[in-house]
Amino acid sequence: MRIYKCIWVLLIAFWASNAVTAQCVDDSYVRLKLKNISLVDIEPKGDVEIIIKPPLKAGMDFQQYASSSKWLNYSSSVRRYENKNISVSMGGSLPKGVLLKLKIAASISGEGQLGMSAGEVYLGNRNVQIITGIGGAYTGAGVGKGHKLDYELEFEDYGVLSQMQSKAILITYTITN
Amino acid sequence: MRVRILIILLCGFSCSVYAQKIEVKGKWKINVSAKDILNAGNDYNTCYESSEGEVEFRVKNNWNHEYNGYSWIVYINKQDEIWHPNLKLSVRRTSDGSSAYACYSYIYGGGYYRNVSDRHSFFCAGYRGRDNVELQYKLEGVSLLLPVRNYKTYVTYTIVEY
Repeated sequence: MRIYKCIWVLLIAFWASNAVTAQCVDDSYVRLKLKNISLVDIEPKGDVEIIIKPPLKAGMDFQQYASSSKWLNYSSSVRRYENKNISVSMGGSLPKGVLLKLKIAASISGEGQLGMSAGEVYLGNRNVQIITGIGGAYTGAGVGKGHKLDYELEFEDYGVLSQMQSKAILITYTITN
Repeated sequence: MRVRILIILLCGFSCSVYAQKIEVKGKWKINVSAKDILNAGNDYNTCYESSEGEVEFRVKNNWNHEYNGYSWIVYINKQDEIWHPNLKLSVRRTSDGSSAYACYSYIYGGGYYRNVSDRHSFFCAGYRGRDNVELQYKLEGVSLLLPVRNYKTYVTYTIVEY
């Protein structure tokens, strides 16, 4: 009998408390799906022309003029503890006795875990890593953003140099995990 | 027999606890991809907004509660499943909804974006039942700098009558 009385008291207390302030809850969710992003671009568009001219005086080296510098821009997102690299390769072949050198400066803009520059590399048909350790980062887009790239010809063997009109080579930049 | 009666009574009480009940419908899924980046070198848009009415709620009167008032307040908070501290979620009310009680019902507050945090905060208030109250979400802080994964949080709407 006492148990029933207790239950009744509890029920009345429960009812009374809810009669004063009752609350009800419902929810909805927000989901954000972030995907792996790897975007790379070279700015400004167009070719780089390197012109070789004869030495000004006998005994001096050839003169070379590169038409413009390029800028390497990238956007990258990664999973935690993941990194990406940018590599470069050259399609086609250079004249005999000539090497093509690429100078990669550190990024002058951007945010996040920007990659480390390799400094200088010689381009060949194989991929060469030029930026390593890219995390979630972006350099900014356009000229004057990201890593400055400068091309330079190096004469390896003057003995085999021969005159030629012009030669086009394709340089490909790839961002990979 | 007495036990049965008690059980029935208990069920009856538990169902009539709420004079006002809130029901939330809808969810917001955001898929961010490379298409959201205009040019290589750029970040995502840092701010995303859902469409108006992506989520809506209704406040339902419980006729059993003649002894209670019809005034109510809705509080909001979020409960993270996986979230990042740089992500800032806000919500606003984009419509008043409708009501069967016509001019005897009203809603106010929540007309501009309010931050949804882990703590309960006032969102809007009203009187009597309302249907199809439309909501719009805004998410700020989306960036390439956040680790790639699926983030999810539950936005909880708590209605309190007074």
